[in-house]
This record gives sequence, structure tokens and C-alpha cells, in this order.
Amino acid sequence: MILDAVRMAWRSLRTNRIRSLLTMLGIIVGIAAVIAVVSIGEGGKDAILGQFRQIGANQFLLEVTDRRSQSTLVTPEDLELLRSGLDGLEAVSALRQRLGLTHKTRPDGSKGAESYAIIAAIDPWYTEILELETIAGRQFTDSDHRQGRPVLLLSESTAQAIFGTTEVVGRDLELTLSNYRLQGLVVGVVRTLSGSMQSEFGQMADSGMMERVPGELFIPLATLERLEGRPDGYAMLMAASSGPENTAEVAGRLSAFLRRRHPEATESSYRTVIIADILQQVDTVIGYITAFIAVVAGISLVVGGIGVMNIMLVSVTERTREIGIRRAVGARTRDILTQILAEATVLTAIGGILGVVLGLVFSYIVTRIVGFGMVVDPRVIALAVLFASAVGLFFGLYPARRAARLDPIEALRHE
Amino acid sequence: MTSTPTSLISLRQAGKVYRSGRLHFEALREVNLEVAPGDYLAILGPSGSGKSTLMNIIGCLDRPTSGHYFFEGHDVSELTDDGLAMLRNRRIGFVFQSFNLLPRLDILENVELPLIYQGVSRRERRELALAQLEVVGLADWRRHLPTEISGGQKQRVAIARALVTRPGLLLADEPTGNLDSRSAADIMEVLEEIHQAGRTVILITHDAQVAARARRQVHIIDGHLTERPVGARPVGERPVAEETA
Ligand SMILES: Nc1ncnc2c1ncn2[C@@H]1O[C@H](COP(=O)(O)OP(=O)(O)OP(=O)(O)O)[C@@H](O)[C@H]1O
Ligand SMILES: [Mg+2]
Repeated sequence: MILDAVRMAWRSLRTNRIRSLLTMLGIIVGIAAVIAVVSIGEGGKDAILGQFRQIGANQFLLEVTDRRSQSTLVTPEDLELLRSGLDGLEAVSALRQRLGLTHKTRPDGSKGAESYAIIAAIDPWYTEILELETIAGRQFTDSDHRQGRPVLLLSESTAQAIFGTTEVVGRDLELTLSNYRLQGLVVGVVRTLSGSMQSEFGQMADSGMMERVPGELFIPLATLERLEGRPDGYAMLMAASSGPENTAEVAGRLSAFLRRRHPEATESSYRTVIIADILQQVDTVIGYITAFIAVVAGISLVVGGIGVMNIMLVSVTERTREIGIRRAVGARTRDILTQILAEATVLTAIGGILGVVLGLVFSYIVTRIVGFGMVVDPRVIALAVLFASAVGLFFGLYPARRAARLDPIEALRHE
Repeated sequence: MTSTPTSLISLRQAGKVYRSGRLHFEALREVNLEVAPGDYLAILGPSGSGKSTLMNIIGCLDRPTSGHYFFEGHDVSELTDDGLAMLRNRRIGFVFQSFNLLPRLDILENVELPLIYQGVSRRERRELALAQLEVVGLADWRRHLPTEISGGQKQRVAIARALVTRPGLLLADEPTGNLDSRSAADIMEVLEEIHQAGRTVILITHDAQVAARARRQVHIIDGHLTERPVGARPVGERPVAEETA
């Protein structure tokens, strides 16, 4: 009986194809929005947070915000003192970034197009804070760091971009860093379990004409310092506290320590950024965006539902005589009720399915353009179609009851 | 109150008053009628006399507002709407003047329609409907839409639909009203066969010639029902050639 009703509903919707499609529009848009939010939102969250995901809740950054004295507010001596013991500080690492020019290498070994790469010069403590996984070759050794050897670690995407392969251990790579030239030897391919903190350079390079090499390219800090000379100070530190519960406290203690060492520093000279807080903020913002679009989708579904109700009322009026005939040959009130409900529900369920398809296509295009992964959750899809059907059931109820209550004789008399 | 055991249909002092707002109109007044199983009855009367009102009551589409109507011994007033729907579905077949086929269903599906409400499976429905179409000679037209066939054919489809559930009673409200004389004669032939097959047939018409084919005739004028011997014509009544609703 239900199956018959669904079959009947399908036929009647097919005879009014355009009208059915237009009626579904609200549902389609609503469901598509939900699907897009979920697929893009989750993917976006992964993209934004993914690089931080591996970072523990005990890590933080310290930036020198005072541009004038940037180079002197964190000195190498400060670092040594910090390492010899600040309560609760697990590790601290100085990080310098440079924009380097390099050439892609053609398969035949000749020099290819020139492109930019962001070069992270890391000290031995870096890997105590952010882990690097070795894919091939090795990581930097103590003597690499001590002697400032011209050795390079590449992430897989960097290796792929420059050499066209990830089998690059032992190959030479020439880098140009502002005034210096570095003849580097690739000693390893690594995977960063966390993201690097590079962003400023990325934006600079991206706005330029030249292509930027993706991923990370590491050299020992000492190697950079051998080229440029030992600096007076650092603009950014990475640090880890002994546990997530005291991260904020240790961060505060670190800046207090530095302020004591540098009386010329002001209240705002140092800025600490606790990674976990960023994650939380990003999470919150994404939450708001999701909620907003969910509200829009909700409104769209309600409007769509009212549209369905309206069209079903029209349809019931149009088919008054048909209903009368059905009643005359023995349809009970509940048969008519079922028929109209089935029609409304099938209508919105199809709308839901089309909405899912539209949402997925839209998400696919957006994630391809923006460049993050798309997350397809079959449960969300099932839920969306189910919900769309429920909208039809709900908004079909009133027209269905109107139809079921029609007096058979009046209905038969209807023109 | 009980009905006469041998009667299929038994109307006792049945009346029908239509009310719309403060107006009311007495469409049937104290109608008494007994119809035995296997009867072939014609209800004759001019337009507006209450024929369709009476047929709606006999067909369990409507209830009398006064008096009693027994169908197969059951007091229709005591049945629920769904109970009436069941009776219509299983015991009664309707043929209307205006065919009343569903325009978007094909011929076969139209004939299947009453079976849907009996919960008959799709396959069985197909078979029964096709067999019934065979009887009225339209099996070859089963995939056509009602708009694609002639009036006479439509009425034969309607008859097939009315008979597909094998009801004891066939009710036909002006079944030839919209047909030319040839098609009309055709339909009357079919009704005759149905009667011959042992079913009860009640025919509503304002055409004395059509009514003459029945075994029994009753006349209705202004809601009053009177039975006359076959062939007799009431004084002062002329055949009405008026259109009907
Ligand atoms: N729903 C209604 N409300 C009010 N009056 C009605 C209603 N239905 C029928 N009537 C009136 O009852 C009277 C009998 O109507 P009915 O349809 O039974 O006539 P009929 O004999 O079938 O006529 P026709 O030959 O034109 O079909 C008519 O005067 C009509 O106006
Ligand atoms: Mg009538």
C-alpha cells in the first residue's frame, strides 16, 4: 500500500516535472547548504588545524613585536640562560626564516624555472618541540649543527616540486639567500607532523610573479649563521612547557624573564601565542560560520517546506475530482491521506537527494579551488535526505488532511 | 429496525435535506424502495428531481438525513466513513454519466484502481484488470490514456472498473447521457449482459427509452418516489432532454 502510494506519488510528480522541480528548490538549496557546510567546513577545519593538530597543547611562540629593537630583545645569551633553567620550560628553539631562490631541476639534470622557497633555519632544539619524521636519508646530526654544514632536509612536496621525485637524498641543490649562495646537499626527506610557522614569507612570495615551492625546506641554523654571521638577536622563539596545564604560566614567566634582562623593553615588546588558544579560536570561528549557514539552511528548508505545502494545497484543489473518484471506488480517508503525504515526502526526498548532489559538487569545486580536502560523511548525507523527507511529511500533513476530509460527493461534483 | 431478509437494498422513509447556511432543500422525501438481488431497476425522473441524490445514498456515498437505509441488511447510518468506503469498494460498482476516469492513468490502471484499495498485489491487479478489459473488448487499448479513446469506449472502461471487484451491485448514473445513440445502445447491451450474469443493476436515467430496457421502473419527481408498471407513462410528464450535471 505504501509502495503503491509512493509509486503513485512518483508518477504524479513526473507529470508536473517543472513544477515539482521549482517546488523542490528551497529544499535543494537548504540541503545543499548543509552538505556544503559540513563537507567544506570539516575539510577547512582539517586544513587550518591539520598543521597544528599534532602540536601538543604545551607549545607556544614568543614574538618580538617591537620592530625597532627587534634584533636585540632576544639574544643568544638569553637563550643559553633559558636553557640552563627556567622553571617549567621544557625546550626553547630559535627559528629564522629566509626567502630563498632556487631552480627546479629538469629530468635531464639541467636547471629549470626559477622559483621561491621558504627556508627554515632550525637549531637542534627544534625537533624537541616539533617532531620531524624521516622518510628517507637522515636528519641533521649534532655535527651538522655544530659545524654549520651545508645540508638540507626537504619535505616530500618540496622534493617533488623541485626534483620531480622524492628520491633526492645525496643530490645537490643551490640556494640563493639574499646576498649569499649556498651549495647544499640533500641529506634527508622528512615529513612534518606539525606545520611550520611560516606565513609572512609565504604571503610575500605568493604575491610575487614567481612560483613558490610548496612544503618545507630546512637548513641548520648554524649554517645560516655561518653565511650571515651570528645575529644580535632573534625575532621569534618556539618553546614547550613541561605540561599543558602550565603553558600560559610558563609563557608569562618567559616574557617576564626577558623583560628583566632587557630593561629597555616595554610591556608590549613581547607577545606570546599559545597554540592551543589559536586552535580554540579557529574552532570557535568555524563554529560560528557553521551555525550561521545552518540557520540560513534552516530558513531555506522552512521556506521550502511552506512552498511544498502551498503546491500540495494547489494540487489537492486541482485534483478534487480525482480524490472524489478514488473515494467513490473505495479509498478510505487514510488512503487519500497516505497518497498526499507520500507525494509531499517523495517530493522533498528527491529534493534532498538533489540537494546532496548539488552540495557535494559545490563542495568539490570549492575545495579544489581553495585547496583543502573535502570530508564526505555518509551519515550526514543519510541524515540530510531523511530530514528533507521529514520536512515533506510535516508540511504535507495539512494539505493531506484537507484532501482526506473532502466530502466524496462534493469532490465528485467539482469541475 | 431490521430489513427484509431478501432485499439487497431497503430504503425506509428515507429523506435527504441539503443544508447550506440558513437554506435547506428537501431533495428526497420519505422514499421507500426494496431491491432484490438480481433485479434490474431503472430510476426515472426529470432533472433536479433527486435521482443523483438517491443514487449517492444507494451507493453508500452519502447517508440519508432521515429514515433508514439497509444495504445487505446493514443500517448504513451506523457505519463509519471507512466502513462505507469498504462497502463501496467491495460490493458496489459505479458508472457515472461523465465517465470519471483518472486522466493521467492509462486504461488498465484506471480499471485497477478499486483493487489498489483492496490491497491486491500489483501482479494480480494487472491480471484481474486485463481480464475485465477483455470482457468489455478493450484489452488492446490498455496502454492508452482516457483522452485517446472515444466516449463509448470510456464508458466501457468505466464499466470494467466498476466490475473488476466483482460487486453484487452495479450503479449507473445516466451512463448513456454523454453518448451518441449507437454507443448508448452498445452500453445498454453491456448492462443487459451484466444483468443476465446475475448481478443487480440500478440504472438512473431521464430517458424513458433507456429505462424501458430495465425489468423494473421507479419514477422520482420532486423527491417523491413512485413505482409504475413497465411501459406506463405518468400523466403530464414529458421526456426531459435537458442536460444533467
Ligand atoms: N449539495 C447540495 N446542496 C444543496 N442542494 C443540492 C445539493 N445537491 C443537490 N441539490 C439539489 O437537490 C436537488 C436534486 O439534485 P440531484 O442532483 O439529485 O438531481 P438529479 O435528479 O440527479 O438531476 P439531474 O438529472 O440534473 O442530474 C436539486 O434541486 C439540487 O439543486
Ligand atoms: Mg444527476
